[in-house]
Amino acid sequence: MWGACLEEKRIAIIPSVMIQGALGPKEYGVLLTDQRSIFVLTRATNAAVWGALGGALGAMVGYAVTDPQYVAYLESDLAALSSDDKNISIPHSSIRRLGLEKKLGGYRLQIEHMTPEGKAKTLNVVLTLPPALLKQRKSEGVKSKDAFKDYSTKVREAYEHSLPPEIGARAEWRI
Amino acid sequence: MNKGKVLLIVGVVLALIGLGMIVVAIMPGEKTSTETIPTGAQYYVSWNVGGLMNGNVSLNFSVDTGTVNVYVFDKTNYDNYHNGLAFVPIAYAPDLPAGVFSLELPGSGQYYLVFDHGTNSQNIDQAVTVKVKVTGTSIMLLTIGVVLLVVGAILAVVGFIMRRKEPAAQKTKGPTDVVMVGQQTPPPPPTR
Repeated sequence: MWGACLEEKRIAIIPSVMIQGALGPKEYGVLLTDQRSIFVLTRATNAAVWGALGGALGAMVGYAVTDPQYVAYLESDLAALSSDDKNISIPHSSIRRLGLEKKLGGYRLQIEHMTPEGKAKTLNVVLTLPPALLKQRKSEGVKSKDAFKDYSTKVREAYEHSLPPEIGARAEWRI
Repeated sequence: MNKGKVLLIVGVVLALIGLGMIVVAIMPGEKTSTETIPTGAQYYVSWNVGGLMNGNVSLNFSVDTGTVNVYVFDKTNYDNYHNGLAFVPIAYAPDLPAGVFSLELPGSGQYYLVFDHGTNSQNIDQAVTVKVKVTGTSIMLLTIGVVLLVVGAILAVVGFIMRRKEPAAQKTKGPTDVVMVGQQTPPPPPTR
């Protein structure tokens, strides 16, 4: 009997996005495969805790002292990344709606999907420009606004390459 | 956790504590309490306040029965009063059932607010309720607060500088831009 082994393919890496958590914003990197989006937690600032201790200054310090965690996106085991409770894994087949639009405060990616339990859920993601990239683009004479736009365009391209055609066709790009 | 980060956290925490102490040091304090002068001519109740810059005491008191004598003493005269020696109060008001007054403290030393039995009230227990509002700057709290703030700020700045001097490789791990896996980054356009 002939069998086919379809290996999950890594398509793209988005280095930095932010998702609001109960204890403050959390930074994730996104590993896009041809089957799913894995949001890998890279930095949880716990800004609410720091903010309670020292107000806005405390929240800023909380962010400053929390280093982003290194993730080996290309080498890590996909199943391990996906099953880690800290991370968020969304199978592309479960996506009902995906949109990227420019809103007040930045570019926002919204993913409506069905959980394995059959519940509809929406993930609100804010694209964040890695500081090193922003610094590099500024040194090239690019304005912050344009650097953000370029970044969001690349995120769009990354998703277009990784989503199944039927879902990609329904995606809304308002950037 | 590296040294720079520890210094930064410790510095900020110390600075915040110092800042809090400075605020407390300059904010007015208010307290209400009730004390009973037991029966007997030798008994009194007292409150002390001191260590203030530009100190001012506002007092609102009342007695449940009879009258009381009110004194404000400095430390020396309070000791004399306590030991039955000759004393000179800074302020004195005899035989009052209640009253309101305000007094500027002449210096930063310790001052004592004393109530004893008024005329014809020495044979009863008297409950004195006092509401004291103290304004002025607490020298001790202010000093500790400023020291903590300065030390904390120095530690935070040193910690911040140490963090900035860490090797760039330690901080910027992983990709810094969107990466399409398996695709090469296009080379920069040729310059003329």
